[in-house]
Amino acid sequence: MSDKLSNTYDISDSSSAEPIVAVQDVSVIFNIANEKIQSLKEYFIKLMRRELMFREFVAVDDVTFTVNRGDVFGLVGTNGSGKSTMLKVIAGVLEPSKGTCTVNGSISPLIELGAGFDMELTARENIYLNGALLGFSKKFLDDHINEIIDFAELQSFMEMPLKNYSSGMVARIAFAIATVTEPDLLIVDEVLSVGDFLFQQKCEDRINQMIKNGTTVLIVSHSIDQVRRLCNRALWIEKSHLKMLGDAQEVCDAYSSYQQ
Amino acid sequence: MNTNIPKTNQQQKNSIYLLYNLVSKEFKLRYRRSVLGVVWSMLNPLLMMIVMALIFSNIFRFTFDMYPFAVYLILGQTFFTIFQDGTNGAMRSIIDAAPLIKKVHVEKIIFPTEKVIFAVVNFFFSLIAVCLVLLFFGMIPSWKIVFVPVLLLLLTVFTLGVAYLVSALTVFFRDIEHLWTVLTTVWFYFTPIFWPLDALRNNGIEWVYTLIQFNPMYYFVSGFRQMVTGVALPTDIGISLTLVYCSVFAIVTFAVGLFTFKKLERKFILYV
Repeated sequence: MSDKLSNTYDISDSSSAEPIVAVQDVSVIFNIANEKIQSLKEYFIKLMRRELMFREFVAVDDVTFTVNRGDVFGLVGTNGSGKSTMLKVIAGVLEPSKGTCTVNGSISPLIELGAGFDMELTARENIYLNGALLGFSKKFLDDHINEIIDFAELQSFMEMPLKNYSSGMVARIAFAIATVTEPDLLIVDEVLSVGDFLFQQKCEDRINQMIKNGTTVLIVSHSIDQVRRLCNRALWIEKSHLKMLGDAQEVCDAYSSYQQ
Repeated sequence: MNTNIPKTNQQQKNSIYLLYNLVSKEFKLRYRRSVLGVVWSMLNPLLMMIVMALIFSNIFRFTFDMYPFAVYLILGQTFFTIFQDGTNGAMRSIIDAAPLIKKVHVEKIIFPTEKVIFAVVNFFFSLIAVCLVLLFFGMIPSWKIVFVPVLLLLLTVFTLGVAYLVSALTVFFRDIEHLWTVLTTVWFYFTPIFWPLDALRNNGIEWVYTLIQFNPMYYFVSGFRQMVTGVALPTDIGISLTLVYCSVFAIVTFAVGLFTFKKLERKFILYV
């Protein structure tokens, strides 16, 4: 991943016409009944009684959109509308039931608080573990460890187990690791709402800096103001369906009037 | 996911680095705040061996005179532990990695693999205990010990296969968690580790004797003992044949395990 970053600018120059994310007719269907059965006994009883019903829940229904290079793309929608499911599809964690999702470039997901961290390990150990999980090499982490620590502003707590950290401090480390490189695509899922206001400001500055350098950003947020401030384009998903796609201001206007 | 990025050399190197990180994390966590630390990896099999040697060689009075019974015990036990610890550790590995799997695109197979590698690394520490026991009885390993790395590799591959199978199925049926712990214990008793296979034949329990011919772990364990001591028991089939059997078991199990895992891994996220 680190090696590819040196080419980032070449890619964006040579193929700026090619969208970084292309979501084509994507549907995600969950099997609600299936999810509940977690023991063999239950499974066989249900099988015997022919109760293996398959009630389907469509979390994302036939959504198509593209994100262009350099976009700051916002995803809005009420709770349970399928925003996070959509993000999971883009991050490559969840496979769409129908349709395709193509991402051309490296992705850096801003992991939710604590995911991938081991609370028993010290912050320094966690930086290496989490960095490895994000696909960084040892050399890269050795070279950038000070940068990460400086950004998180937690120099004097590096040898402390993470379980003694406050959630805001954990978030600082998570943000610092995820943004140490400038990936082609940065996925931000509500993480900007943690930490104190100073750190929030710092995160926004960092994201703005990345945007200037050509990183595409995908933001899921419940804060309309944030989407207005940061994004140029936005997608509104409502009850699994694509409701509106277009200029961030227009989408936000429509969304906030829908809310009232 | 159609990211269409070919797996580069660098990415493979990073996967190995991740594996290294996970194994070292496991070690750090296991022995953090314990006074003896990693010595426990060596002390555990030694203590187990002493207890079993006391019980089985004195109380049951097995007629075992090829070499000290304690040597027989510790060799079988340490080798079987790789399989037992590896598969039992791997069982929950996917479920425990759930928060990660839900957020980041990682090779999921890394998690059970890590547990098996951890069990193998632990085995190297328990080898110190084996050496101590050999030294205590004044035994010198035979030249056949040069085959041990091959057998160890085969056992690792076999264990990986079972680990992939068990870890993938546990995601869908949590019962396996309870079942497998019992099953490996039964398997342990069912493998000639603290009793010589001869004892069965002499006692006329012929059907168990026949059944054990189908137990893969029997070949691994008896092969390991033959390679270290250089002594073939009357029931042993010889090193070359053992290696052939073990290769077949390892390759078939690995293929089945890997295939099942790859087939099921797309659905993990829906169930973890």
